[in-house]
Amino acid sequence: MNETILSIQDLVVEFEVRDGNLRSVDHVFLDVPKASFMGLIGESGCGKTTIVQAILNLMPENGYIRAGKIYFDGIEILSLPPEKLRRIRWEKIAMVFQAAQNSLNPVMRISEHMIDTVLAHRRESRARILERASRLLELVRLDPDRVLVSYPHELSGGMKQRVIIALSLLLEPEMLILDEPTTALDLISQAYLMEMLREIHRELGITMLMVTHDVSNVAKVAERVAVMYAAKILEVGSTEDIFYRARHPYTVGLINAIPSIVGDLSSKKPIPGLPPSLINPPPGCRFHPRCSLATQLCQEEEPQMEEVEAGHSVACHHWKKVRAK
Amino acid sequence: MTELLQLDDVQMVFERGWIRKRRGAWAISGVSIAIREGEILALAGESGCGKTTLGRIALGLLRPTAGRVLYKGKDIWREKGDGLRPTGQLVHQDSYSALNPVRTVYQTLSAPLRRYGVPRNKLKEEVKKLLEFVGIMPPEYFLNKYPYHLSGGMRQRLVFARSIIPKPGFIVTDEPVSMIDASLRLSILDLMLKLNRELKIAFLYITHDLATARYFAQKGKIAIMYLGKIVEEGQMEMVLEQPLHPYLRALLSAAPVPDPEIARKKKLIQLKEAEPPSAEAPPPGCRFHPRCPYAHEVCGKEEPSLRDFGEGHRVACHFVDTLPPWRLI
Ligand SMILES: Nc1ncnc2c1ncn2[C@@H]1O[C@H](COP(=O)(O)OP(=O)(O)OP(=O)(O)O)[C@@H](O)[C@H]1O
Ligand SMILES: Nc1ncnc2c1ncn2[C@@H]1O[C@H](COP(=O)(O)OP(=O)(O)OP(=O)(O)O)[C@@H](O)[C@H]1O
Ligand code: SF4
Ligand SMILES: [Mg+2]
Ligand SMILES: [Mg+2]
Repeated sequence: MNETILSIQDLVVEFEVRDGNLRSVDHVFLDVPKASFMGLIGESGCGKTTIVQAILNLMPENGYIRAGKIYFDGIEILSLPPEKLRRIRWEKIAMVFQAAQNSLNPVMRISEHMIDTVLAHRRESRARILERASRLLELVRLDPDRVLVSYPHELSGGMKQRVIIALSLLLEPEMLILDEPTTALDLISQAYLMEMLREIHRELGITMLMVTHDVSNVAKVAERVAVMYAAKILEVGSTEDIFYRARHPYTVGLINAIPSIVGDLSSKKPIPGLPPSLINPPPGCRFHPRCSLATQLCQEEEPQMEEVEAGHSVACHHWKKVRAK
Repeated sequence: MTELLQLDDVQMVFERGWIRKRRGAWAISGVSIAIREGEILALAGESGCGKTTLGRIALGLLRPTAGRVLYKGKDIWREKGDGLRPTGQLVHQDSYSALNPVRTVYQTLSAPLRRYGVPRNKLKEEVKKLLEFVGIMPPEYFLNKYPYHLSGGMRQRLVFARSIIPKPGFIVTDEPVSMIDASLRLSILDLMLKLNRELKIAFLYITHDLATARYFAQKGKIAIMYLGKIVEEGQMEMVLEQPLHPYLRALLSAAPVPDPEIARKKKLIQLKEAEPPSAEAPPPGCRFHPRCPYAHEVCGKEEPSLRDFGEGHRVACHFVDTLPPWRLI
């Protein structure tokens, strides 16, 4: 496998809430290989956005990174002074946030957004910025002549989302992180966006980390997938490992709970029970109350990540008994 | 065969403010659908195409600006007053707003049970039976809980429990699982299937998600809506096996699939425009023609009507016969 560009090591993040501490990322490890397209999937509230916020140290007021290290290109970035970290954000790691469409300034034309974004980080002539912006807009299949002079309200939701992706690529970052990039888009616009992301990845060779609760979306574009449940990453592997050879009972159950427009539906079924509260999660393996393989050991001892084959790791005491359908 | 519910050439034009009053917004233009007793019909289409509006018309909550709504053969707006509101129930995505926050689970169900004639001394027993039936177990544990104590899935089950008390002929569900966790979505659809099988309740299942539509209405029918019109309808299995309208083909080609091999092989049909035009002023002729890769001149001029291509598989497109053969992958 390629060298690692982003490495998250033993990350712990908590929110201070009324009832105590809500730990939304709990001792998480994740390696993203350089130039790969990685998907991070998990159900609502499991901590995906928190990981993304922590990578750039952009926690909300009541959020705290309690422990852990994050390496980007070999440099530990959480301990960098703010000015240095700010340079890494956008210039090295660009981010498209959840519901980013609303982040465009309504009284600024798209061209001004482009120019402002670059000038906030470096000196460059307007002509050169606009030239690069035009190329990027074409890459996301927008007509630069039309879009650059437009105001945000003149663009549809899907077009705005593509403008934001072009904006995020303007400083030629090495990595692009996208948090739920398809929410609020219609099915057809979603599919176009996914195709575009795959093209951008192919053409620019940029590392991608896409966070989503939509399991089906990663199947098409991702090369590797990490599965998150209740603040933990439970399984990581190639997309095929996760969809065809999953070894964590939760991964198997989740994929089997997603209906499809093709194939057999008779074996599809939901996972019994509910995801746990993060304020007071169950001891041992967090999935044990819902797991059909759970034993005494699962209630008492937390399983650690284990490599089950090259590039495929899983945190389950009984992974040897698990066979995906 | 008598239909339970029939919408006959229904139209809905919303008056817009007082400035543009004369223009109005077209939400539904000439839609006919029919649901038999105990039947499941999935109504699918993208945002703003008119699904919710059609659901409200089916329930008699909204009076169409033209066309008729028949329940058991009777026009519900003509013969008004005599209990001719169709006996349907609505379940939408937001179970929290559907429930009264200051009422316990017991109160939520006992009040309507009482209204429907259950004697006081039988109430508790009936509430518990109902809770068990919809999978809220153990009932004892939940009786005195308030909606905010319940998970989204449990709340949605409670809404279904309440909705079956009047013994409705049909239930309109408007995106009932879109706010439910992915691992639990099928459990709500399974509950709906149980209500359909055991209580013979018909369903109008409104969704933008073709995969859940297929799961729930596998043995039923599907209707695809685009900008206020039905463009294709028929038995679910037949329609998905052999989709004939270019819009449905585009939707299926765009639908994500939880299987990497299929997902990568699937070819996305390229439309001329990625996004639909405004529903308020739909294009002339076939409403899909500005985006359709197969459109010819006539498509911009003449509106295609729904034609039957066998066994009730009906499609509104001028060029069904000359479309390329369908392949998902
Ligand atoms: N600012 C905050 N204050 C308190 N709790 C928070 C805050 N932000 C997030 N949380 C909680 O932390 C947990 C993880 O949230 P996070 O947003 O990371 O989840 P997610 O996986 O991105 O979910 P979604 O799919 O809904 O976007 C959730 O239980 C959430 O309620
Ligand atoms: N009360 C109303 N007044 C004016 N216009 C309305 C009203 N209700 C709906 N519309 C318009 O009618 C059209 C259809 O809306 P509707 O809510 O039925 O669509 P939908 O298919 O349910 O969309 P979604 O998938 O987003 O829920 C839209 O253009 C909408 O703006
Ligand atoms: S009628 Fe014409 S424009 Fe409409 S779907 Fe058929 S080919 Fe396309
Ligand atoms: Mg999130
Ligand atoms: Mg709606």
